[in-house]
Amino acid sequence: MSKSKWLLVAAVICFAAGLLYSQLPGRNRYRGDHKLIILGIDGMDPQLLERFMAEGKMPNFAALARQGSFRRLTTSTPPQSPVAWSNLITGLDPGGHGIFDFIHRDPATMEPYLSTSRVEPPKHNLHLGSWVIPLGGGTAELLRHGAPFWNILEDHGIPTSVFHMPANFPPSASKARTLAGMGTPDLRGGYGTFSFYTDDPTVQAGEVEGGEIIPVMVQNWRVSANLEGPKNSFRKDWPPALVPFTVSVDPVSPVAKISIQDREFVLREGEWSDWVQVDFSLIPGLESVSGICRFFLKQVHPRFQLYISPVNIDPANPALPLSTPASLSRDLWRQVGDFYTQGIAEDTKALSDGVLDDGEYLQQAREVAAEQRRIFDAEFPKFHRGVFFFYFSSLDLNGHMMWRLMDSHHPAYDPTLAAQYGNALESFYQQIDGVLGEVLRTLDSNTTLLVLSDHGFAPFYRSFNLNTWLLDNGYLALKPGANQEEGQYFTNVDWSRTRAYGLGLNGLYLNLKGREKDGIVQPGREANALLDELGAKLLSVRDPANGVPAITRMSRTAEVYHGAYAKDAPDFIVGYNRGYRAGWKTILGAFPRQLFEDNTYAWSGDHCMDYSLVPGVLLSNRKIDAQSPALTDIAPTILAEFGIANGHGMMGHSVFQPPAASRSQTASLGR
Amino acid sequence: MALGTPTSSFLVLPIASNHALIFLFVLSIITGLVMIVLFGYLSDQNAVRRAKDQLRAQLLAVRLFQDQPQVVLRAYGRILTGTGRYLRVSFKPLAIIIVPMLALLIYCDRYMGSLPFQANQPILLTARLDKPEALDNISLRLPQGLTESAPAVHIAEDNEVAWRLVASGEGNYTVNVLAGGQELGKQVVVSNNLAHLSECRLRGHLWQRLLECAEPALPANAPVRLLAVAYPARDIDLGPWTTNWLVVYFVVSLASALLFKFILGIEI
Repeated sequence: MSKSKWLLVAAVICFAAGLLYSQLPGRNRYRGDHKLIILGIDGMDPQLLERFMAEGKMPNFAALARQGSFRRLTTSTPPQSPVAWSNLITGLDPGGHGIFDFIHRDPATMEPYLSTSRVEPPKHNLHLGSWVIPLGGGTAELLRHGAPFWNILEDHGIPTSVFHMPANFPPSASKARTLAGMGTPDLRGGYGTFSFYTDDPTVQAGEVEGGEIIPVMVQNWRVSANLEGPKNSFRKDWPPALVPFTVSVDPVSPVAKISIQDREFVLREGEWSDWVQVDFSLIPGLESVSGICRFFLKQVHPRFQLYISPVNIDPANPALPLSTPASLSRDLWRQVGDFYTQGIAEDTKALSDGVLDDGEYLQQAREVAAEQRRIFDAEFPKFHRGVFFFYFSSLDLNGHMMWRLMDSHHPAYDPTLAAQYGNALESFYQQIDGVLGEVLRTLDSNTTLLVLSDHGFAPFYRSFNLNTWLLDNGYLALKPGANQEEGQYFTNVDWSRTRAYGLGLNGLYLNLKGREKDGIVQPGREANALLDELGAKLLSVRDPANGVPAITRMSRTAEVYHGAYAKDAPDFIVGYNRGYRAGWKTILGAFPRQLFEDNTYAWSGDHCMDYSLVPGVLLSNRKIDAQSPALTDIAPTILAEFGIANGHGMMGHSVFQPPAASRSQTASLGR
Repeated sequence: MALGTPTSSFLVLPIASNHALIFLFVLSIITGLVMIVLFGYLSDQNAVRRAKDQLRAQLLAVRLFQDQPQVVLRAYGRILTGTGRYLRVSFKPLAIIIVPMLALLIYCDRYMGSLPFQANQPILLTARLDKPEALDNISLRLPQGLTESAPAVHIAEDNEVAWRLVASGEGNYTVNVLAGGQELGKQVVVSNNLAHLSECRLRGHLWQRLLECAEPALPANAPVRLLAVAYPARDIDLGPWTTNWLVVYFVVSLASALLFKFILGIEI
């Protein structure tokens, strides 16, 4: 080779090496040794925490509160997890990040949709008989707006790891290591759909709230059925992809062998399987989607009952984005094996639908907590610089489901179950105390620790059916002849005579002309007068059972929200009194006959109330100067720890600085 | 020495470890080298060279005389016959090489195709019998360290009994199945390392036994026709992808063979 060619080769090699070096992790990185650890504990309640600390059940939290600081953390309006965590992530209120509730509606169609993400199929397809060839890719879109704190940190070279963050699916583009949390769908696209197979003729088959009950027959001691996976967008009409499986039942013993694809395993009655990887074929031999699920053999004799968990996105081979970088979910899988990727992993719906009983549900919930701990134990020791955030879900979901077993005033209280499981929530608190203990052992003088929750908790004794109240008081009208108790999603509503409607857990909307599809309320004076009237009337509603006000705060979003997306918000956020919450049916646009109902469901604790009644917690190993810190202060606090100014539009202040003069949460009608 | 029995495991012992990928790469490179040396030794190198030269000449003719269809057509015809000639001179060495290659693949698959069980991992042991009546008269005798973690599942439709076992620690266990007055052993390996694994013991079925089993056949008069354990499949982890070991093996051994072809000047 000539000399010039050698020189050219050398130049190319030098260029490539330089390029590679510039991309190496740690290059252009923060060189300081300051560290910030954040434990995000969904639903940790300050009252319960204080009680358990006083009883000596949470020694690590007690030590942290004693040696550092412990404050109540003002939550979001409304105090719902997707909203609250979005406040924390962005430092913005819902007007800035655009998440107002679990459920939003499209005013052009009045169709509801899940608020944090949207998965869209390809826009253009080629149809060949029963096959559909997509001419482009589908999209998964994160609907939360605003710059997450970890992107700002990474822009300043601060290495950041964020695990299981809610309201971050699909994970926003980032150089940080992030794993999506609450809001991540299962493979069928919802928040989690279980399958329950039974030959019990007394169980009604069909769809239930959280899953599907599938009738099967035991023939020659064998059950053959299909596991439903994602919709097959390569087929006309999108039939679900199915995977057949068989269960061979022992004629005498309560045990069975399950065969699915190339996997075979034996389960005893009352046992859970490990994770089972399943491939759903979309185009035979060419395209398939991988999922993971767990089997629970509830009963073998006399009736066959098999529960299969929602099919989670496979972390080793994700069909939808789960992490940044994309390889992170796979790296975690290598370290800890399969894990729940579905955002709400605890199958609360299976307990509510009676498919799992309390003991069975708790087994599953404990496994979720153990999995989260395994991921924490795998990742935390690797943290040496920058910011480490880890989210724990168990106090929230189990607070929802187990409250009735520790509160004898609750309508769903059962003394027998309470004797068995009354301390279940307490044990989940103690597990979190164990995590904190591990963190405390690693703290040094260069490390700041924040332990926080997005909101607290309260009993959910009574339901208030907001849409029923609007109907009874003439603000909402049904089509002539419509049965009040039939239909949901406002199917029977006469929009031409409707001035206001409730949607979601706390949202109250006006049927506004120019915004809603068939709006009739004129924006401006008429709308304002109607809001005044609704606010005053709703604040005066008393529960006839005890004379207690059902609603203690009506927050006008035009006044409490700031930012470009405030225009999409409900007009009022309804703040229910402690013990009260919107009824399940009214949330989705239905009209139960009763205005108030006892809550006899397993879902017995809640927080979707007046934000001032359910504050979260904030603990730190440093002195917190702010007397009333809020969730919107957390992102500024994180940035300030590394000398970074607030990001665009951030409204809070570092909690380690003197208290801010005012808060944004004051512009509401309250009692 | 039976092909694939544990006694022949000295072949891989020097490099056997839990680093399956390293083992696989070393094996593939050595295979590539051995294949190319064997091909050079067994083939008529002059004949191979001549056949390839003639093919090259006809390909050159196709490129040079594109404006003369008769020449191009004739060249295509000669390419076809030249290809046949090339295949003929390559057939003998390939046919000879393929026999040890196949044996090597079967042998290595017993190490690379599956993972041994881990301690405390459920182990599914299946016995398939001739008659459904025998299902109730079959039992296990377990070695120390292995226990049943669930009652046996009797599946009359398949003449099958399935047991779930669990091992308390690593070891090369023999589970004894007692049926029809006979005691039939089945190997179960619990290990964190690369290990020689046999999924089944069969009665009869010579070819299936050669391909899938690495244990002696079940006695011809045994009431059991199959004893099997399902070891978890081993995936070779290549960062963003996982794949079967055979894919890595073929790609690396082929690349290695091509490299050694140039180094050793062997014509293939």
